[in-house]
Amino acid sequence: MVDATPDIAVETALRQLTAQAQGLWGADYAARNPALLAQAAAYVTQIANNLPDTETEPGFYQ
Amino acid sequence: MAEPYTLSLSAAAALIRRRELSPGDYATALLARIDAYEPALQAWVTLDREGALAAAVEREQELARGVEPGILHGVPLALKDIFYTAGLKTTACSRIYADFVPDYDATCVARLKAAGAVILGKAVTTEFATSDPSPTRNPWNREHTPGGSSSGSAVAVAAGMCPGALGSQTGGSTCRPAAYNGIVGLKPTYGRISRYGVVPVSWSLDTVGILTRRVADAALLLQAMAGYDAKDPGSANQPVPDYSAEMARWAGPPRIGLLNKGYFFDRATDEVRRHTESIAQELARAGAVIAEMELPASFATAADCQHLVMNVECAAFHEQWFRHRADEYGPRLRANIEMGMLIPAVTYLQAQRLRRQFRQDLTALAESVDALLTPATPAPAPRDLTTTGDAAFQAPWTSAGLPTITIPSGLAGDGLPLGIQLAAPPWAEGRLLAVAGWCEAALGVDLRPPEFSG
Repeated sequence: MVDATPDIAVETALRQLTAQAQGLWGADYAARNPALLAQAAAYVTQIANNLPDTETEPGFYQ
Repeated sequence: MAEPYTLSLSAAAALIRRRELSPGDYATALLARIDAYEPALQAWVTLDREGALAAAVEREQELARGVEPGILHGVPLALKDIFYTAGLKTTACSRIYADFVPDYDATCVARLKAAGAVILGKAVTTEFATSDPSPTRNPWNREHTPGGSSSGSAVAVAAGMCPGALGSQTGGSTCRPAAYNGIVGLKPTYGRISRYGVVPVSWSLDTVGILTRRVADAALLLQAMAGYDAKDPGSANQPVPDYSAEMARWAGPPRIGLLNKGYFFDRATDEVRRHTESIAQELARAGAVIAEMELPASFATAADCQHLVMNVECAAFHEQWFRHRADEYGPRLRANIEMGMLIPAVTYLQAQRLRRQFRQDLTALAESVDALLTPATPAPAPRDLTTTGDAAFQAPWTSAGLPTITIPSGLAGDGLPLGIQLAAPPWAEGRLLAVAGWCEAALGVDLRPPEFSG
């Protein structure tokens, strides 16, 4: 199996998500919604750093 | 005969079948009870008084003509207000769907009607079956949340307004309110009951849920609705066994895997931990073999994957309205949608891959025993009407698509109900119901909220 763990830092994810949110909803979005962005960054990081076996395909309808 | 509102769904169905209880009298009695308690509990959005009484009279006439009754013949039910009902408003308790009147029944509703059920009306849901609290109150203590999102369905059953109701579960929306209100909640395997004609939260997670007073009642409702439906892309073409027969055949006692290490016990209060341990001991004294089991490593991301997938799919469904009508959404749902719009597509797909691996791991664990056992919730219903409570103990199972059932198991120190949750491998609802029925009999717990038991 190929080792494909990307090892993304939560700060990196937060920076990227904040930039995207500001683009969608304005410059003050991050200041108004810090908890939402932090939670989204935590999800992204947790998932990116715990990838399944490379052979595992998505399930969708199980 | 007992007061109609005290009858379990199975008992009422049997009495109707023997023509010892008239469907018209039964529906009339429950409508009177709804009239009496609705101001205090706010469990209903739309009450179809005329339609219900007309259907009940029709069921009576069918019995008089000698028509073979269906398994739910003359049984009044509530539907969470996300199930399409032909000619009857389906609002999802939202401003977006406020005036929506479907022109067809959801497949599961059509199947309930075909089995003889009488639809009393539509029960309150949180907005679009997500997490902004509804006005519904917990009959055990109106200052505590009834849970959500199937809040009206759970409260209607707990307060004796109807013997059964439909809910749904995307995170913890059936089994959590069931536990908070002291009743039975069944979340079948993903794909077991058609979602066609059900307002979605998240296509790959949404599961039709069942709320009743007794386990045998849940088996009857599942029997009426289970089975393949080509109109639902998530519907599974799996054989549907006779669930009541599987319960009756169950020899017991069961082998139960107690998940008392890590996630569930770490998050539970001391009281819930002690309660669950004592329930396991009580089941062991009744003959069950209790094995302490550990969760698979893939459990670590299960709840995160559920949240992430739910938010992304929710955002995709609502995007068409959200772009122009965002201010018509509640704050929590709005946050869910916004988060879903931010999550990268790659992360969404990784979460779906992780869900598949998690399902395989959890299925293997569940196959090693007859059922897995956890507390139903981390704590009893919180004294807080600004939340619907904590879905942490349901979300992983919903993410994996495995069937779970919650049964009442006692009262907490604050007088609110406590429950246990059982899980089984995919498509093993018959075994799950049998084990739950065995536990229900062994524990002998039947909870009724004192203020609404008269």
